[in-house]
Amino acid sequence: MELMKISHVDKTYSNGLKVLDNVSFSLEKGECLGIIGESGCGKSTLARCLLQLEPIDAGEISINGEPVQNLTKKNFKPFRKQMQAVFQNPSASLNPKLKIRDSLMDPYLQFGGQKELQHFSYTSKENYVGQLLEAVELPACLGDRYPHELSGGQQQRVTISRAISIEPEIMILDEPTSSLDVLSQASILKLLDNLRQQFSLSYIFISHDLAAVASLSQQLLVMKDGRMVDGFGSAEIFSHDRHPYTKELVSMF
Amino acid sequence: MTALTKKIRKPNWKASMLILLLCLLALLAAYTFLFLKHDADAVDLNSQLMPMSFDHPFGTDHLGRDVLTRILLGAQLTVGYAFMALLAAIAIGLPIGLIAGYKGGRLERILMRIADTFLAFPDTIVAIVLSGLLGPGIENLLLAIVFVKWVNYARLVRSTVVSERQKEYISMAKINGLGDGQIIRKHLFPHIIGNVLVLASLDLGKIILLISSLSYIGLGAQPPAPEWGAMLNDARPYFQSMPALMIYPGLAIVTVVLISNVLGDYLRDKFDVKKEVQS
Repeated sequence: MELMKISHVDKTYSNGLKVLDNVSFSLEKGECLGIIGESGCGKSTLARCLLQLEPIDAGEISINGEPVQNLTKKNFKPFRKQMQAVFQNPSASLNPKLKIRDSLMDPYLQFGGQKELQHFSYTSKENYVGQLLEAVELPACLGDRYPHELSGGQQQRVTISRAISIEPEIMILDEPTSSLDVLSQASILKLLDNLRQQFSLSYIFISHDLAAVASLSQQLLVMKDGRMVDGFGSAEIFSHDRHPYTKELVSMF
Repeated sequence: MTALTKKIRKPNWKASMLILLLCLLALLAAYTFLFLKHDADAVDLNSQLMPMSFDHPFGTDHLGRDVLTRILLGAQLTVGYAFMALLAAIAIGLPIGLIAGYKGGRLERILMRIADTFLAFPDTIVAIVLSGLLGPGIENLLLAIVFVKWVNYARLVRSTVVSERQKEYISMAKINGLGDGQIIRKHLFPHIIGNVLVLASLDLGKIILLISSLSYIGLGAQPPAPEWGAMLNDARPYFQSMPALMIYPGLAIVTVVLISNVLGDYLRDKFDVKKEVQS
C-alpha cells in the first residue's frame, strides 16, 4: 500500500537555483526508504517540502492517496499527526528554554484527543512523558531537565520520542545520526529500527551516510543535483548495473 | 555540571548587595506605612529649615515641610512614574517587535524604519521639546519618555525573534501543528521575557534619572509634588546653610538607580543560564 507518493516535484529557489528537479518516488507502508546524496544535492529541501514547511513549484505530493501540496496550513493540519520528523541537530530541535517534558508535550497537546493511541496511554502528563522516554530507553527523570543538560545522543532520543509520541505513520529522518559520535550513531540506528517494527512506522531516511542508510532501508534512492539518479532494493547495492554515481558512492565507503 | 555547582557555591556579591538594598527599601516602605505622621505638602512657616530632630529626622525644608516624609512619598512618586513609563514603553514596543520579527518581509522593514526614525532623537532633547510644546508637567514628561523608550524594546524583541525564528525547534513546532500564536507563546516568549526584563531593570534607573533631571530644571513634576529632582531644585538656594536638603534627595536618587542597575546585572546573569554553564 502506498502511504506517500511524490510525483514530478520541482522546486527552484528565488535565486534561480533548481534544487528539486522532477523528483518522484513512493513510500510503501512499513518500509524504510533511504535517500542518499552528498551535501547540497537538495536532500534537506526535499524533507522540508515533504513536511510542507516549504511550498513546491510543481508536481504532486499525496498522503494515503490524497494530494496535499495545495492545502492551506489549516487544512493540512490533520495530516501532521500522520507525519513526524527528526532533524540532524538535536540541540537545535529542542527549545533551550523549555524543559524536556514541555518539549515532549507539543504533539500530544495538538493531536492527543484526535487519535486513539495504541502504545502509550495518557493518564497524567508525568506518566505520559515517562512512557515516551522509556520507549527510547531513557530514564523518566530526564523530563525535568533542560536540553543542554543532556548529551547529544540523549537529545536525539528525546526528539525521536517526541516524533513517535502521537504514533504517526510516516517519519521523515533528515540526517538523524550525522551530528552524533560513532557509538551514539549505532545505538540510535538500532533504536530507530526497533521502533519502526514496534510502531509499524514507515521511514524516509535521508542521509549522506551510505552505511547508515543501507543498514536500515529496504529501498534506496540516490540523489544528485536535485534529481533521483538511481533507485534499487538494498540487496542490489553492489550490482553491476548501478548508476555510475552510485558506484562512486559505494566505492568511497 | 561541576561548573554549575561551583557557580552556585561561589558567593555572589551582586545577589547579596541586591538583597541588602531591597531589605533597605522594604524597611523604608514599612516605615512609610507605620510611622508617617506628617503631611508631605503641609506648609508650616513656624518651623522653616529646621535641623534634624526627633520630630523631623531629616529636618524641614524652606516651607517647613518634613523632608523625610517628602523623600519617602517621593519614592512612590518617582519610582511609580518610572514604572508606568516603562510598562507603557514595553506595551508598545514588545508587540511591534514581535510582529516585525515574526512576520518579516515588508512589514518588518516599515516598522523598523519607523523605529529607527524615533531612535534618531536623543531622550533628553525630545523630553524638553515635548514639554515645551505641551507645557511642563509630569504627564507630558512621561509621554516623552515612552515616545523615546519603546523603540529599544521593539528592536530588542525583533532581534530576539529573528534569531530564534529560523532555528529548527520552530520548524519542529510547526511540524507538530502549533499555530503562530502558540509558537509565540510557548516557544518564543521564554526567550523574549528574559531579555526584556534585563533591559527594563537597567532602563528603570535611566528613566528615574531622566524624570529627576527634568524635574530639576522645572519641566517634570510641578510643585508641590515631592519629586526628588524637584526637591533638589527647591533646595538649591539653601545649599550654603542647609546642604542636607540637597543631599537627602540626591542620595535617594543614587540608591534607586543603583538598585536598578544591580538588579539588571543580576537578571542578566540569571537568565543567561546556558552561557553560564558553558563558561
